[in-house]
Amino acid sequence: MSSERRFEQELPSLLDDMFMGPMPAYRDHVIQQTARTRQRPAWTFLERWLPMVDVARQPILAPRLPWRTIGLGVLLLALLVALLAALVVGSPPKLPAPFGVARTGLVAYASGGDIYTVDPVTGTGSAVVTGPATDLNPHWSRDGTRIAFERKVDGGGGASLLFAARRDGSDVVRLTSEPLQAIDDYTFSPDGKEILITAEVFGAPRVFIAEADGSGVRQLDLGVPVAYAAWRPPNGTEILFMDATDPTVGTIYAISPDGSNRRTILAATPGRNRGMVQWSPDGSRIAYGEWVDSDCCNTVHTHVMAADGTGDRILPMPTGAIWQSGSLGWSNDGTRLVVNRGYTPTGQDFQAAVVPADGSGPGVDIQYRSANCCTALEWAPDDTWILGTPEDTNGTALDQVLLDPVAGTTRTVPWKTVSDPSVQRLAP
Amino acid sequence: MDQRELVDRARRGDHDAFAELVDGALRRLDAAARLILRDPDLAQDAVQDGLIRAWRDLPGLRDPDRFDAWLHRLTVHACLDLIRRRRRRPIEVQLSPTDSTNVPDHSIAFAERDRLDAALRGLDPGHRAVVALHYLLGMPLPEVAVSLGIPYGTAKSRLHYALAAMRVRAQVGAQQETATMPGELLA
Repeated sequence: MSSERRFEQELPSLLDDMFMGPMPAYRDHVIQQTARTRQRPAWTFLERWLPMVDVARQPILAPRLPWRTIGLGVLLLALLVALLAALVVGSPPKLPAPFGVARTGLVAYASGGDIYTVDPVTGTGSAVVTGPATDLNPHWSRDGTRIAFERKVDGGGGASLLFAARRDGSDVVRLTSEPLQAIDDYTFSPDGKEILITAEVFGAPRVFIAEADGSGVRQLDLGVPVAYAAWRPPNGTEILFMDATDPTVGTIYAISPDGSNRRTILAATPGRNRGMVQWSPDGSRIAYGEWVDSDCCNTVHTHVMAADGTGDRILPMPTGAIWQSGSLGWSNDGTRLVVNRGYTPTGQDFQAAVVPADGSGPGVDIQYRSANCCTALEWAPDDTWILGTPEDTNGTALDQVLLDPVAGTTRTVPWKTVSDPSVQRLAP
Repeated sequence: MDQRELVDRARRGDHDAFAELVDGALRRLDAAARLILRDPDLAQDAVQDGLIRAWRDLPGLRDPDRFDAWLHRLTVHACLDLIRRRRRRPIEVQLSPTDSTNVPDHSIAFAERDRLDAALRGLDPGHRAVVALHYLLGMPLPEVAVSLGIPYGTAKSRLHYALAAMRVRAQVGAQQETATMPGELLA
């Protein structure tokens, strides 16, 4: 017999030895107490009416309610609810995806050398970046949290530095260490960490990538003058650009942000020129304008092709239209383009039009009371309107207007700006 | 008069019959309560609570043959209730004097008693209740589970744990005792 088994067998007698004593002295006291206690009538016991004996002989029967577990569960649930509430209240606001339809936020614009934001619905605005410096051309980040803008350098002959600030104008960060001449364009990367800048260096447009936190700038050496540089949606894995070298202007490339993996999307065509090149919001297509080199303004047509350069097609125009520009903006849902369209051979008179990107029809002309509308156009993130800057026949910018892409109507906005429009994207 | 008849009479209000039943069970109930509570005063309170309740509710007992199990259960629950009500108060052990007539095996040394007692002290009341019901009151383990309102597996694991703890304590104590014997030191 093992020692374990022997121990277990001896245990009852061991325990008897240790704990069994003589009749407790309180025996009489207990008897007296019970004698003074009344018994409950038998009929008050539920067990009298239920087969409790049989029940009691089953080792495991109707399990008792696990009150401790239930209580613990309730407590955990309460903690979870509290945690979720804390997360909802304490978490940062939800951000929109960098591309695609989003909720429309504030319009950023420049006026009098300061940066403002305005609610396009109510017209209520406020200055966000002010001061003696001349600030202009604000551009929202894709998530709507920051604004990049130019600041003119005193005596710099048009040179500017780039800055970025939070949506309320706080946390202003200088992005470029040296002034850049003739900044053409700048856009935040989809993740908001970098800014792609096109600016002239010794008269030739070059591309730079600045860290959005101001920690540095690098030039992307593409070897050619560059136009229409843009991050590829939806995550910026490539940068689109067009070779602006004369006379081979027009080759469209894509390249990795680190300068590697250059690929030709569309080679130049002798005697023809291209411009207004834009990615679709999902990065699957590219829209551009193409014209005969010798007759730029009466021969331009809108083209759409796949991101690899295949499937090129010319979007149709309505009867009477002579020319139609390249893309001035894709709708956020990727179904339409806003372009400029001309009905006269001079190339001077034009109006905006919204055309289906699949070429299924001529689209909608935007009716503007006079002059030309518009030179700069940007879709509202919810695609309900397009913000444009009209200009008179002398090329002078007029009050901005909101274009209805469905009805083709316009209305003037209550703010005045000299800069291109930029509309904040918000989470739906 | 057998126990069944006593129970039957006590159920119908015969207090003398109940007193006889108490006399037959009290020493064992008191032992079980002291094992669980490790305090003779508390044990007395618990046993009294259990017996008063037994008397009061006896008319509800359908099967007189279940009287012992029922009474043991009431007593153990009274012990555990008492512990729940007095958790803040430390419980110290006080062994009752050994009744020599209940020590048939003279090989049981006092040292072994002390080691076993220390092991029991290290268990929590839930484990001690299983030990008391099973080894001291002779209740089968499935019935222990029902009496304590715990799953059979839990009762089994509690018993296993308690046994292991007691055995280890007993063995370690025995080895230490052996190692300190003069003969061992001279070897």
